[in-house]
Amino acid sequence: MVELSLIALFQEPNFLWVILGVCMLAIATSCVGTFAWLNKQSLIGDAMAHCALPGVAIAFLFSQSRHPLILLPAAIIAALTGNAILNWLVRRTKLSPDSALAIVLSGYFAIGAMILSLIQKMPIAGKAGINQMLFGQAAALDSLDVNVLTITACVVIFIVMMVLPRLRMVIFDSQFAQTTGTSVAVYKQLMGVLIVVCVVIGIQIVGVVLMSSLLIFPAINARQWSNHLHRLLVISAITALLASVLGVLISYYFSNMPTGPWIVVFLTIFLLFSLLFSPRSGGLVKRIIDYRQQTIIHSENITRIWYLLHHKTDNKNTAEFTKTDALKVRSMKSQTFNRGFKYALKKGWLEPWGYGYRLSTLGFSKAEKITRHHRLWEKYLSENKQLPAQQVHNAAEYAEHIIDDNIADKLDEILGHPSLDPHGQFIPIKKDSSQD
Amino acid sequence: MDSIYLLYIIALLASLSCALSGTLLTVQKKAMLGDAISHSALLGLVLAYLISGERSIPYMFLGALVAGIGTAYVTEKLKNTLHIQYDAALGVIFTASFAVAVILISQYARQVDLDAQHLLFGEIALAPFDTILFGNSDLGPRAIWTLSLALLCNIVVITLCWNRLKATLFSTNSMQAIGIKAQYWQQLCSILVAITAVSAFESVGAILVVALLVIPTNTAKLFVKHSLLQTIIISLVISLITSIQGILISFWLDTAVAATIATSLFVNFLILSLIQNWIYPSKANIQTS
Amino acid sequence: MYNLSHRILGKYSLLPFFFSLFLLVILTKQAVADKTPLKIVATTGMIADVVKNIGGNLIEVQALMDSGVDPHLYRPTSGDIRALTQAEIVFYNGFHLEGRMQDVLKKMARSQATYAVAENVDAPLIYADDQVIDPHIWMDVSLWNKVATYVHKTLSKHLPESSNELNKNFQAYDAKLKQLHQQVIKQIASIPSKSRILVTAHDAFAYFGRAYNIQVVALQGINTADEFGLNDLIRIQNVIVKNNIKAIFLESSVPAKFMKSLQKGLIRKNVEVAIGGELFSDAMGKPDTVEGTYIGMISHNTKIIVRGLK
Repeated sequence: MVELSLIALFQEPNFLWVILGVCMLAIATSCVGTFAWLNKQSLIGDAMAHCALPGVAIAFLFSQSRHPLILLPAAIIAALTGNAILNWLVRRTKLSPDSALAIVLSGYFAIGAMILSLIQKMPIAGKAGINQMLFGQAAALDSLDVNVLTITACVVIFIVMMVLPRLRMVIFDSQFAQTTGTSVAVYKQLMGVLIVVCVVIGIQIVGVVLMSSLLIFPAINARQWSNHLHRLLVISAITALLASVLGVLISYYFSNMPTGPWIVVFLTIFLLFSLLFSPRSGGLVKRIIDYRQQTIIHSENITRIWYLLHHKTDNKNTAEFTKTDALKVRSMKSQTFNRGFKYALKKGWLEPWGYGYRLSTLGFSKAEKITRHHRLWEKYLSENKQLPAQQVHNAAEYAEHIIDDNIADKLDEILGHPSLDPHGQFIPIKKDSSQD
Repeated sequence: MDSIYLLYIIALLASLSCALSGTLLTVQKKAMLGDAISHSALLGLVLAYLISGERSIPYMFLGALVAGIGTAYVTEKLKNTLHIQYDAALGVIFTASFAVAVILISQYARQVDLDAQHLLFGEIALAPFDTILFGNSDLGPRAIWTLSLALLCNIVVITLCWNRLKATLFSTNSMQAIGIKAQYWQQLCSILVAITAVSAFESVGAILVVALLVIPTNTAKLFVKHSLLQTIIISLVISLITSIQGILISFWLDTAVAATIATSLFVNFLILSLIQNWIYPSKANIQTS
Repeated sequence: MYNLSHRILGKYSLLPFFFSLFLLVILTKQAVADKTPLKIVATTGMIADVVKNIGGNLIEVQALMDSGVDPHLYRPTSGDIRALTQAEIVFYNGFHLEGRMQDVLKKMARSQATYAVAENVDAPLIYADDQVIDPHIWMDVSLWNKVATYVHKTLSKHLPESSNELNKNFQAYDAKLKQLHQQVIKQIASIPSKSRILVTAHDAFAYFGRAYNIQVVALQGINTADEFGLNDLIRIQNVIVKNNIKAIFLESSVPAKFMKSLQKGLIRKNVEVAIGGELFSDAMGKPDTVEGTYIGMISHNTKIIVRGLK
C-alpha cells in the first residue's frame, strides 16, 4: 500500500519528479497556450503532435537508432516545417486558419504513416513501437525531464516577459504596431516557434492529450474571468498548476489512475466551474438572471390580462376572473403562466376574490401604467414609423416592460397627448405618481 | 468481384461522401471536427465494450458513432450558448473525452485490446474482404454498404436543403447574425459530418478521412470563388482523381493505401497552391494580423 | 505462328505438332506442380517459424509481421493482402491478437484454408477479463508445442503425399520444443523462489509466468491505450524492494523510458536494481539471427531473466 502521510510523499523521488516536472510544464504551456488561443490556433498542439511523426519516422529510417537525442530534434524540425507551411498557407493563400491546420495535420501525419509502413517492411531491429517513441506519459517523468522542463519554462517566461508589451500591441492592435515599426510577422513567428518547441518537448515527456489540454483549457478558463493579457497569463498559470497538483495527487493515492488524464479531468472541472459561475460570462448566472427577468415580464403580462378582462365586462363591480378566463384572453404555457401568476400574487397586484382573483388597487395602477406605455409606444411607431398595426402591437408587447415613466411622458409630449391608440383604444391618462 | 475493383469502389465511395460533408464543414470553418472525432471515438469504443462486453464490429461501430455525434452536437451547443471559439470548444470536448476514455481503460479494460489503432490508421486494403454475412449469403464488403448509406445521407440532405444550407452556412461567428434557425442547420451539418466520418473511419481510417474532409474542398477553393455548387463539384472530382492516384502509388511502393492517398491529396494541394500563388499573388492576401 | 507453320510445314503436319506441344505442357505442369512448394502466409513471425520448421522445403512461408513488428500496431499493405489472397494456406494467431484483421481472416476462411492456431489448441487458457482471452500463448512452450502439432496435422491434410517428410520434420522440432520447455522449467527454477518475480513493461508474460512458476508484475496492461499512474509505479517499486528483486526488464515494443524512470526512482532511494535487458514479447529478434527464431527468442528471454534475477 502506498504511504499516505505527507512526509512519505516527499520522500518518493518519482512523486517529486512528476509534480515538479508537470508544474513547470503547466506554467510554460499555459503561457504559450494563451497566445495560441489569442491567435485562434487552440488546436496547434494536436497539429504539431501529428506533424512530428514524419520527423521521427525519417530519422529512424536513416539512423536506425531510437535514441531520443536523435529523434527529438528530428521531431522538432518536422514540426517547425509544418508550422512554417501552416503560416505560409494562412498568409499567402486565403486559406482559413482551421482548414490550414487540418490540412497540415493530416498531410504530415499521412506522410509519417506512409514512411512507417515502409519501415515495417524493412529488416531493421527495434522498429517495433517506433511511433510510440514520441508519446510519453506523465507518470514516467524522471530527473532529466524535470531539468529539461524547468529550462523550457524559464526560457518561455523570460522571452514572453521580454517582449510582452510588443506582443500585446501585436495581438490587440496590429495596425498601431505596424505604425510604430514593430514587425508583426516577426513576433508572430517568434511565438509560433516557441509554441512548437514547447509542444514537441512536452509531448515527448507527457503525451499528446495532456499537452493539448494544457494549451487549451487554462486559456479559455482565464478568459471567463478577465480580459487583460497580464491577468490572462497569471490565471492560466494558476489554473494549470492547481489542476496538475490535484491530478498528480489522485494518481499517487489511487491505483490504475493515470496521471495525465486526471490532470485533464481537473482542468475540465475548473473550466466547467468558470463557464457556469464566473461573473463575466458565467452561463449559469446569466441564465438565473434571465429567468428572474422573464418571470417579472410574465407577471406583468398577466396583470394586464386582468385589466383587459376588467374593461371587457359590462359590470365593473364583479371584477373577479379565474385563471381559465385569463388564459382565454392570452394563451400561455401553463408553466409560464403559473410562474408569472405566483409572482403577481406575491407582489400584491392580484388578490383572491370570490371564486377567482381580482386586481388590487396596486395591481390596477400597475396594469394601467403598463397599458399606457404599450399604447403610447404603438402610437409612436405607427405615426412616426408608418408601421402596420399588428407589427406595432407585437413590438409594444416587448417595449411595454422596458419603457419607464420618463420615456412615456416624453412620448406623450412628442405625440401631442393623444387619447387613442392605433387600434382605437383609450390611452390611460397618467395618474399621480405617488400611487406607484 | 476482384478485390482490386472493390478497393477502388470503396475508396471512391469514401472520397465522395467525405468530400460532400467536408465542403459543408470547411465552409463553416469547422475543419478540425474530423480529427477531433477520431480522438473522442475512443471513449465510444470503451463505453461500448464496457456496456456490451463484446469487441465485435457492430458494437464498436455503434460506440464510435455515438461518440462522434455527441462530439459534434455538444461542441456546437457549447459554441452557441457559451460563446467559445469553435476550435477551442472542440479541443475541450475531445481531449476531455479521450482522457476519460484512458482512465476507464486503465480502470476496467487494461487487458482488453480494443484495437483503437484500427480506427486511426484504418485498413482500406482489408475492406474488400470484410464482408457482411447474412445467413448463408455473402452480401459484399461492409464498407460498401456503410459508405453507400453515408453517401446517400449526404446527397439527400444536401439536395433537399440546398437553399437553406446556402443561406445559413455562410454566416459569421457573431451570434447576432445567426438566428436560431441557422443554428439548427449548422447542427444538422455537424451531425452529418460525424456520421460520414465514423462510417469512413471503419474502412479507410481517420488519417484519410480528415484529409478527405478538408483537402479536396480547399483545393477546389483555389480555383472557384463564390459558388458553393462549383466548389462541391470540383472537390468531388479532385477527391476521385487523387484517390486513384494514391492507390496506384501505394501499389507501386507497397505502402499503406490510405496513408498514400492522404499524402497525395496533401502534396497535390501544396503544389497547386504554390502554383496558384506564383501566378496570382494577390495583394489582398497579405494580412496584417 | 499459324501462317508461318502453314507456309513452312503444310497444314496437316500441324496436328502432331500441336498434340506434342499439348502433351509437353501437361507433363511439365504436372512436374512443376509437384515441385512448387505450398505457398503459406502466417501473420506473426512466431507462427511462420513453426511452419517453416515443420514444412521445411515443402512449403514457402511468408510472415506478414516479420521479426520486429508489434502485432498490436501492424497495418497490412496491399502487397500483404495480395499475398494473403494468393496463399494456399493462411495461419493466424486468433484471440484478437490481429485486431480487426481477425474478422477479415475469419471471413476468408470460407473461401480459402485459413486456420487460427491459438484457438485450436486444447489447453487451459488465461482469461484477461470476463470473456476476453489473453492471446500471448507462445510464451508457454508447451502450448506452442500443441500449436506445432496442430500445424503438422493441418499440413499433412494439405500435403498427404509428403506425410513422411512432414512427420520427420515434426518429430525433430517437437523434440526440440519439449527439450526447450524442460530447459526453461529448470532454469527458472534455479532462481530462488523469493526473487522469482518478473517485472516488465507490459503484461504479455502471463502464460510464461503460469507455465514456469514465476510471478509476473507489469506496469501496463495488454491494451495499448492503457496508461499507468504514479501509484502503480510506486507499488511496483515497493514489490521490488520487499522481495529484493535484482533486475527489471524492458521490452522492444514499449518505450524504455518507463522502466528506466522506475529504476531511477529506486536508485534515488538507495535501492540497487539493474535493467536486466530487453525481452522479446510480441515480436522476435532480427531475422537471420538466433533470436529471430522462436526457440532463440524464448531461450534469450529465459537466459537474461535468469541472469538478472539470480
